[in-house]
Amino acid sequence: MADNCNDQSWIAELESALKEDGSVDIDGVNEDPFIPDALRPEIWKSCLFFNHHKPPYFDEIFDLPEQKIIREDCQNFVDKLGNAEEEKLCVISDVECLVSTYCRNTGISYTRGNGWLDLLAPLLALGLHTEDTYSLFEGLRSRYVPRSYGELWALFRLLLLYHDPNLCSFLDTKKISPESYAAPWFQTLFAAPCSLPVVTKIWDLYFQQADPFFMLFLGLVIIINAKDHLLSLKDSSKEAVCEAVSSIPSGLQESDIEDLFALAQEYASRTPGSFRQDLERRVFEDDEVAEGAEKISQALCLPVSVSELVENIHLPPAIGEELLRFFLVDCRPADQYNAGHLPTAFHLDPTLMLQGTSVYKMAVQGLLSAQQQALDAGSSAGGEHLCFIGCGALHEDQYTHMVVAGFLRDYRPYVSILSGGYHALHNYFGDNVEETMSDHNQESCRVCLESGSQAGNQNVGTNGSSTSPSKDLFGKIGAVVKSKSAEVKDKLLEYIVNPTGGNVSERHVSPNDRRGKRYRGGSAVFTIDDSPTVPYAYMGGDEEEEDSQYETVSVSAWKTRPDLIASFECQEVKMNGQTYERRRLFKKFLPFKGKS
Amino acid sequence: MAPAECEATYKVLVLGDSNVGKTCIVHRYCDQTYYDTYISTIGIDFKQKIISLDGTPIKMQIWDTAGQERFRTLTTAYYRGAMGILLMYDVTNQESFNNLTYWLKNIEENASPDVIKVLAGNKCDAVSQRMVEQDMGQKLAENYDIPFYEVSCKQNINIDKIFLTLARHIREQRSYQQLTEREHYDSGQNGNITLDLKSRILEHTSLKEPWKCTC
Repeated sequence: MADNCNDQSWIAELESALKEDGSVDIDGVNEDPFIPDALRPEIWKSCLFFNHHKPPYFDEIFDLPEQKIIREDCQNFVDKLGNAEEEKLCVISDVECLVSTYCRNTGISYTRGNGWLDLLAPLLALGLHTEDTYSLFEGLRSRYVPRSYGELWALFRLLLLYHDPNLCSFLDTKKISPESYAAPWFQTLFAAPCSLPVVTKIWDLYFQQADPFFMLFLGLVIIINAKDHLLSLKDSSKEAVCEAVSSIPSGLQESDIEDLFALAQEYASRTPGSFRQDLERRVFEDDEVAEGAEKISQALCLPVSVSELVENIHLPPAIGEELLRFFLVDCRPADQYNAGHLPTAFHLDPTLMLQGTSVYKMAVQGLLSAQQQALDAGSSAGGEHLCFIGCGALHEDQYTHMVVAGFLRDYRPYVSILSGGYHALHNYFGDNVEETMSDHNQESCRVCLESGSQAGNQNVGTNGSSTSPSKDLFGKIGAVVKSKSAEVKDKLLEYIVNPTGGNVSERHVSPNDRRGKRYRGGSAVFTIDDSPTVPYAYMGGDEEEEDSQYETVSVSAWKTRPDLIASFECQEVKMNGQTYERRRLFKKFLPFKGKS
Repeated sequence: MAPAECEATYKVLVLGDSNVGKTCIVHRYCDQTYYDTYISTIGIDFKQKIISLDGTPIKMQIWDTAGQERFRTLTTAYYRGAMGILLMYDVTNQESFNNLTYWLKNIEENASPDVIKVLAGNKCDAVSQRMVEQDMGQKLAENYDIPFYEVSCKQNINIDKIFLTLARHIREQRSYQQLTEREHYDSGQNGNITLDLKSRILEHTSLKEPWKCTC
């Protein structure tokens, strides 16, 4: 039995590898990304058996405190499955056995409405042995079902705010939190609201994504898709709207699933991914509450980590085109901005807001038209996604937050804020601040002044060895980026400070940006065979030289499909982690991809 | 912004539970507009208005906060710089009144100790839905020794009055502070004198003084 099973799972693994490739390659041989019925059990197994526990011990005697509830619920559940009368008893006892064993093994007690039975339904439909069903259930629960929901709801709201501020504000106004409509969606991975064939297809594709957060994007597509209907309910009661939202997935047809996934992938690729780093552990693993746990539930908009931002800035435009690119808006007071800022960051002085709305509005308009021109020119300073940079301390960022809130109030999508602000950015660059920041002036830079000699010691002492590999990396990039857009930004600054300048920005942005593009080059980025290509010559330090082929591929692959590759190993990279450490992680994925 | 135009800028924060009418009162006061539809405020908003406080032009800088729980961390950051706080509840919503103690505690913990507070019970036009009687609000206000008005944004009742009261108290507070500072500076005096001064100033600039219409 054991041998047989191993044999099968090997075939299944191969099969699933092929399938995965098929779903990735649009022109692939197999156009249908779904799994044939016959192969499904093995493929699900290979996707879900990720921690191989010894097979659970099933005895048929259960005496849990909640046993009565379990029995009742199992009976009701099986009644709905529609088995033949003579099978029923057997199925009921199987289900009860599964649930009770799970309770006993994990120490998690069963509560009514926790979605376990809904999760079991598609698994039972596979017709496997109880042991296998159990293992699937366990794998499903440990990998894909969130453990703690508080932050997940906050995150889901922020994602909705990021993509559709209008809808988010509508639901906020109705005081409907995601908890009240999306709980059955995520608790049961859509098994509760959708029909069995639909949920089976969803799971087929979902497991291939191997990204537990992908469920959020499915939810996002589902809700945004129904936006017009929901907004038309603006005079209805909270309960009615809530009901309308939560029932959307039940209308899904099997034929919708492929589009649903395509859209969800699109949304995922247009969403900054830093939240994964912070939340994956807390949402999907143990419920230990790390420090800063409050952050996401109190966040004004989606936070972006420094490492994500820096990486994004340094992407050559050729890669960035179809991806999310940030347009950086520095909202610190002018004197702080002048004492050091990212070369591609535009300044928006929030104190203009205090001087009168018209001045501020003009500044914002100038900023947005600069954004548009940078986008048109394909500059690396341009991007659809606004990322605001504040000082990094709550009390200092009053005005920054006000500006951000203003953008959100105007229902502007793709608004994010750099978590930790300029302070975190400064710390991230460490010794290389001089090269990477524009106009950096130690004498007047707040962060330099605050940390004083202390920072110097720290960098030399504790970080000495760790910063060195990234040193030339940042140095080189810095030099490239610096020359490119400094002028653009200066003109814009001028414009924003003196809004009477009229069309000044129009004249100046485009020529400079074109220059920026020339620097970036980068047509060869995707090719595997090229040895160190132009953009990566900037990026690669000595250590990376021999791996440069791998890097090119993995970075681009990761960038095109963050949902595919951004699994746990990648996210374990800390904000202050060295760049080549992150690369090493990319390499880990390569053999996996390469074999297929 | 020109100093010649305005004598001073008073920063005022509007606090209270979600849906009590904070945004509404700010719009009513600053723009003379009223919207019947409720839209949840995101984070923080800001408006200003120049008023004439007994002949002196004053810029009122009004910060409208989001009442929802998820913005508490964010909005608390704004307490510190506030000179005045307009605390609001909704007379048709008992809970918003019950939560006032939470807000007052929050103010005490985060705002400057000499911040000026006023209490407003909004929606006093909605007679049939009233849940909180006027003397309940009055009593609470007396307990905390802060001025209290029932207001209506819809019917524009007491809106200008409450902001003006706030502005007056801020002015008193500031002139008192300036005087004590000068006193300290001049002769390095101790607490007795400042206490004396306080009562004197309060007498001088008391609210009994007739005030001009700001329109």
